[in-house]
Amino acid sequence: MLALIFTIQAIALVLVLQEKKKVAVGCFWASLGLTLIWFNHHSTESLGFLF
Amino acid sequence: MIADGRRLAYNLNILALVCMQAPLYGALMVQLTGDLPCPLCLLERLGMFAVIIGLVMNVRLGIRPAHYGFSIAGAMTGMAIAGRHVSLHINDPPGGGYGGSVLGLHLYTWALIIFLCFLAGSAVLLMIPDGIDESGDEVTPRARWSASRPARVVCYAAVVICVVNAVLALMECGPGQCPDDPTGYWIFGS
Repeated sequence: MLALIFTIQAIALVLVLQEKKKVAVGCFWASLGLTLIWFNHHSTESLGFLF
Repeated sequence: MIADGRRLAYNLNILALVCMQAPLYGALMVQLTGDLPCPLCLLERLGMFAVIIGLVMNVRLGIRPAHYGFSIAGAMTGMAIAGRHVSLHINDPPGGGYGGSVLGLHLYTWALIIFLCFLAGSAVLLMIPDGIDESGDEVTPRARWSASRPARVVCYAAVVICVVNAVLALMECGPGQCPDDPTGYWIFGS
């Protein structure tokens, strides 16, 4: 999962350098959302929550 | 005066990119010596890359308030992760905590400081008079990008370190969840 998020961020960086801003912004928000979901998963895992 | 403000903001964005990448390259060196990062450490790196994406947008596509907003959102995410990490180890005895330390502070504490400094720095950047690009500017972002070798070097370095982190994260954690205290790389069966 972490490797996937890093990959999405790398794609976002490449898209910015190629001036494809709209797709890059989409990748940015996707990566940030996944980061928050995965952070929440790690924070609440010991409590037995699904997420 | 107008050109000066924009040039200052542009150069400070490049400096911010260097300052955000330096700890990432440092952490990579630490990792290559055998000190594996925990899941929260990797999540902090993701926060730093989110900041970097906004800064690269400023350098490549022109300086816009929205681009600063992307970076600030990344810094707030990273700060939440680093704050959680620091609070997990706040009651550890002296010499405790996860991993090694630099100048007496653990890397996750440095991450929290870096995110805080970036938020303060972005407030200053947004306050630079005429520090935002406008559509009628004589020097377009594309021309400025072509003329600035440091900007190109630092942006391509960001892509390289991001790809390296993606590969190392896959090697360490695999497709699933990373162990809280990793002792070896998943790809090598440990």
